[in-house]
Amino acid sequence: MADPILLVEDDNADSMLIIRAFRKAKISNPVERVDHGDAAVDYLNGSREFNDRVEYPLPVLILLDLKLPRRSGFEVLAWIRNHPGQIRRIPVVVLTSSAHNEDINRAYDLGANSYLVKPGNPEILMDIVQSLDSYWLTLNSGPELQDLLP
Amino acid sequence: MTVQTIHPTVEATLHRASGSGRRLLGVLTLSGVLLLMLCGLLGYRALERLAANEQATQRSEDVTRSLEELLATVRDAETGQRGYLLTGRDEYLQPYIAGKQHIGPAVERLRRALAADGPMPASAQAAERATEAKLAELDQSIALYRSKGRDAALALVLTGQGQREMDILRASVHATELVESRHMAERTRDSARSRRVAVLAFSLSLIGACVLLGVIYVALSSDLLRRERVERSLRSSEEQERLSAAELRTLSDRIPALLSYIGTDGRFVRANEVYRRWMKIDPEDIIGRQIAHVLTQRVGVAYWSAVAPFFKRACKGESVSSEATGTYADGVERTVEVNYQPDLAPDGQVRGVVALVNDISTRRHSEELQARLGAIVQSSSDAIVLKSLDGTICAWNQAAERIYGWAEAEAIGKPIYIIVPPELHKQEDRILERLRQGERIEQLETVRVRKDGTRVDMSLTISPVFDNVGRIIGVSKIGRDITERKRTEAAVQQLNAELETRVRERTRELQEANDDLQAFSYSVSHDLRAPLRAIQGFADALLEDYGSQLDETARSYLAQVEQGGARMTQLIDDLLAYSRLSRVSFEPRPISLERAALDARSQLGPMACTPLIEVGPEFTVLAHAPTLEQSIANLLSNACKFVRPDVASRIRVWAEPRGRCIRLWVEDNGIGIAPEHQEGIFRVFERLHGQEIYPGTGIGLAIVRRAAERMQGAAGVESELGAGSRFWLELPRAEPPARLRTSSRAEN
Repeated sequence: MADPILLVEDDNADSMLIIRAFRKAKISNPVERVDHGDAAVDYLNGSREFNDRVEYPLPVLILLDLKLPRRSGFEVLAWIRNHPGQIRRIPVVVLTSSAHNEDINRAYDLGANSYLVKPGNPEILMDIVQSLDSYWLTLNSGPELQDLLP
Repeated sequence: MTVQTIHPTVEATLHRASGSGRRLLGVLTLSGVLLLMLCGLLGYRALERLAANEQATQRSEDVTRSLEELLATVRDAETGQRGYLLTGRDEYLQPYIAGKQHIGPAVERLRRALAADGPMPASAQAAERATEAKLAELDQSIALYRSKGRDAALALVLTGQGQREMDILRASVHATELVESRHMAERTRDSARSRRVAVLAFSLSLIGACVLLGVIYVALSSDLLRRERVERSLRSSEEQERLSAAELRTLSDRIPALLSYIGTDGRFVRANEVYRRWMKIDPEDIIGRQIAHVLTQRVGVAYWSAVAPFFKRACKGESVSSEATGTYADGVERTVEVNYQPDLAPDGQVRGVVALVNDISTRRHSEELQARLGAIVQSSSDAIVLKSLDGTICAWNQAAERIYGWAEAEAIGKPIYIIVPPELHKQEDRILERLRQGERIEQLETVRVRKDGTRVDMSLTISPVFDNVGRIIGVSKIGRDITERKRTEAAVQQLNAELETRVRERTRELQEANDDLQAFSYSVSHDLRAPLRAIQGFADALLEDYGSQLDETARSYLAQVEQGGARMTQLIDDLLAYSRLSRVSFEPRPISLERAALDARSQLGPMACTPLIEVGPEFTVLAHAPTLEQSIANLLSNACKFVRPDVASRIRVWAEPRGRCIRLWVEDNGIGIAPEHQEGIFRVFERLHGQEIYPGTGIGLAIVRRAAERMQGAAGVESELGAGSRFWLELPRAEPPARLRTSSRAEN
């Protein structure tokens, strides 16, 4: 089974539409969704309910919303990039509704690999998902992630 | 005249002064002389007595000596007689013979000696008689010896006759000597008395003479001095009397004033040389002319009418003076002091009038000047104080009274320290030291004390005051009460502080508002879009996934949901763009207007119109490129949108310089805008048409205007309903034109 994609998104509607788009785009990687920043950190850390790496393996790509409950997307991003282990290598694509330059710049400053604005139009969302698949999951050579099982 | 009166007056004074003194002197002298005469007389008498006594003493001594001599002679004769009688030899008679020869002169001397003292005393007579008797006895015995021998002679001797006579002689001599010695003692006492009297008299007369001489000397010397003085004054009066008429004339001519003598008939009798200078008239020619005529002609009618009453009063014997002003014949306007002095005859009759006219213009002028200066000083709102070098207040104006509370009369004469706070006394001394070196102190802000002890903030200008020869004689202090100013300054300072606080507060509030706005737009862009995406996404998903299970009506409903979502997305985008215009600060740069217009047109997308860009490459404006492009794009899309259904759209864009700005025109042949709506369309959400005919958010033109304003420009429209519109956008011209800029995009 392919490595999962970690979707960090608090909005259920957005999650549903994104997951639908992934499904419709027939992407084989499973999507693991967490709905707040702390959960994202827990997942990546393999702590709490995510302490089973077999069930919750490290993602091949992280889709990160910025506006999140508890720990914000920026904080999660900073945490990832400052991680002493391999977690910092994981590509992070910011997918958010904010088109503010300040947010964009800050995301890149913190080490985001890409920045996408959530589209209003479902067709554009479909395009985005297909592009993600073709670029990050197919063309892109991801980093080596040696899973350290507990 | 005055000169003549001096002499008798002095003389009389002298007489008066010396009369009693002379009498006293006479009395003193007379008594002195009498006293001296008395003393002299007494002395003379005493001396005479002394001399008489001296002679008498001499005589007494002669008497005594004569008596002794007589006695000795008689004894010698007796001795000779006895020798002869014993021996019988004649040589033994020698003493007898010699004695007998001596007895005669001796008796004679005795008589002479006694004769001066009047009748011969009885004892002397007895002595004489005894002598004669003895001699006779001796002669008889000798004669007996020779004649009758020794025995007869001895018998005679033995009778004792001779012995008795000898005893009588001895007794008489002794008695006489006793008398004489008694006389001598008396005389000696008398002489001593006379000597004392003489010494006393001479001493007294000597002292008296000295005193008298002294008195006379003093009297004479003072008298002499007085006489000398009188003589001197007499001499000078005489000299003055000798002043010639010419000298008097010179004197009167030298007086720097008009001097004349005028008869009671008003005719000049004499006038001095000054008339020539002032009135341009020969003093000789003036004689005999009427004063009224001369003054009217040479000074003026007004002048004469001013002084005429005084002249008339002088003619009546009154001594008058007055002031008048007139322009004299020499062209000089003078203020004069006119003195008319009547010349009175001894009987009181007025013989004439002496006129003395002094020029007091300068004096009057300086008095006026001084008065004016005084008034300025007094009325100054600054306290003006003058102090001497020892710090005593010498002048004190009204403002000083008002500010310091001390009245002028109180302050003058007091030390300056009454208004200097104790802690500043040293400063005051230092200031004086600096002033002594010629320094002047300007605008010294310091503190002074009022009479009631309260303090007052003062700004002082202190300068030294010099006398004619440049010595510092005092210090002037001009002080301004700056309490009010200080208070105002403090108030201003406080106000400034408050203002600053308020500005800070307001800035903070603005910052907060800005933050709120940012939070709001963030919220809008994030939170509002999320549900919108859900609406659109699920409507789309529903259509896509379950469209086949829905009928036409249901599908058209879902289409409406999608359209609504799309419109709302546009609205949010426009609103965010508009709000960003308010938030973001621009840094305008030179931008080619043509380039911006072309770029804006390329943004238009698929629209059924192609605006004609006719902007020349020479126009460069100061703007923010993306905002300018957005604005032009909005204008273009606006023009493309409001077309008349039956008319082919024609849009033209051009530019023109307008003062310091450049105006971009966007002209269309669309529906046009009624005048009453031409302002409203630039406001947010103002829409003139329904969504169905001309869709839009109503924010596009508001963005244009706001953007223009943010870039120091303006935007507007000229339009006629049904005949198209001409929108314009004006922006500052870039100086100098940036010709090298080929792409405004490159700037960003």
